Amino acid sequence: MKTMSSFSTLENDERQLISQARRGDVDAFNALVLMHQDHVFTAAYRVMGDQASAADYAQDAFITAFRKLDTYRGGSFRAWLVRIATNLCLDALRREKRRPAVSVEAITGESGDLPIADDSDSPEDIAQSRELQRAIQACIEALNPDQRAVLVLSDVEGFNYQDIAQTVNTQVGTVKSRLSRARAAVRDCLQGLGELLPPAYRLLNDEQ
Amino acid sequence: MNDLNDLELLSAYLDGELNPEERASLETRLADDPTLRRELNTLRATVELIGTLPTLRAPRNFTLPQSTRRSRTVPFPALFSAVSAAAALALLVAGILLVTQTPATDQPMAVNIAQAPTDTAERRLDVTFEADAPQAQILTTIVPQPAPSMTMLTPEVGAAMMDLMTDEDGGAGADAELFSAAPLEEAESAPSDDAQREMGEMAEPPVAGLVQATPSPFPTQAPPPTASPALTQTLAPSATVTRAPTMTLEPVPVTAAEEASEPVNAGVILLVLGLGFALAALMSYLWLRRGQ
Repeated sequence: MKTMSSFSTLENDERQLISQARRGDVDAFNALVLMHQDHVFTAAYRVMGDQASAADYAQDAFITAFRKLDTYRGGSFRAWLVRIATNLCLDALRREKRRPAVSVEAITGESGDLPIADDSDSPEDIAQSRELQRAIQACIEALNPDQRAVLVLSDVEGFNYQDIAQTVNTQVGTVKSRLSRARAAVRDCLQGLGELLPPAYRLLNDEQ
Repeated sequence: MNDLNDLELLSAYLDGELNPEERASLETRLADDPTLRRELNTLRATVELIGTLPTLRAPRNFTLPQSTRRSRTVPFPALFSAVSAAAALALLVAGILLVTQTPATDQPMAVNIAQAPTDTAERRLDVTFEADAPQAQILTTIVPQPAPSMTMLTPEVGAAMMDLMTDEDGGAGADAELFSAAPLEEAESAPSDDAQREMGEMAEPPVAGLVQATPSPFPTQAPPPTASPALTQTLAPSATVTRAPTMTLEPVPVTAAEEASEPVNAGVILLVLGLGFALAALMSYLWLRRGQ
């Protein structure tokens, strides 16, 4: 057991909990679940696009993580969890072969069950960004599953190409091209919204 | 075509994933090409927009129930260690019995076996599934030596191995753990990792059953399996090395007597094999401990 003073208390706690959980301590693992569940759920939601299945796969991801804790080899534990969740979601999407067409109603509809964001802003910010969030999410969902996973891992989770390639079990070159096409598709999708975008983001409509 | 390539370049450029030459070349082009610049800016804005998506709140807690087990599949080294230990024990016991208890009449081994009542053998067969007899549990673990895998084990043995894995010490005393699943007090009181010592303690009670049902792994075994379908099904996947695992389960035809005419030699072979498995068990166990 390495002890390095440079680790923050939080990281030390996490290490401690992980090694306890490895020995079968469910309480220790549940402490880790509570630390990361918002993040893991968010990743699942961004890929799946609906709350119920995102919750299901987030739950599955934690069960899988507990069982496969031996395969965790250091590095960011959160990233490891997100990888598991993303893979479960991707497998599910491939199974379903579902590819919902994005419609204006889906993008602008008020009835969408958008989960509650973690940070609280002023009411105007929320109102504005909620519309935007819904639009971005709908444009992500219009991507095919492989592009979706790569885009979420890169632009939501901040993974580098190498980590993405490992996560979705493909080549870095494939990640590079998938990601560029996913971004272009989301851009085109958002550009189609025009006036619906808040003024700050109208620059997407490429005048100048 | 070129557009697609440019798209990849621009996207990777945003992520800092271009090598220095690619980057320099692209930056030169960007300086001269307003269309390319606009393309880059719209992509950058898109990435930034996606980045504004907030972290959501989980709709419920995803904590696991207390009863959740750490591992459903036993890591291979642990399984290998346990199976090897069981195999070593059975082989050593059988070998010693053959060497020390060879009848003065030079009666072939097969005849001894044939004396066992048939209904006992058949009952043991059922045990493969019901597993209420300790000897049968041990023996079922022996059979799949060449390629241990959970699917070939009885549920009871699988459970025993799972316990072994979830144990605090990570399988300390693989041998003792395995046998604790079977109601053999002798084994439980012997937490040694030396299979030979346990063998000594266990030699007495399970003798009859072990001799009767232990698959003799030396390759000279005569008639191909003639066992009942149920058993063949259980053993089929493992038949690669242990050529004739079913030979002892039915009254052996007279033809088997020829091969068994030198039980001492057979016993020596069993002992050597047993020692080999004991060594394998010990090595894999040590490897396991080191990994903890």
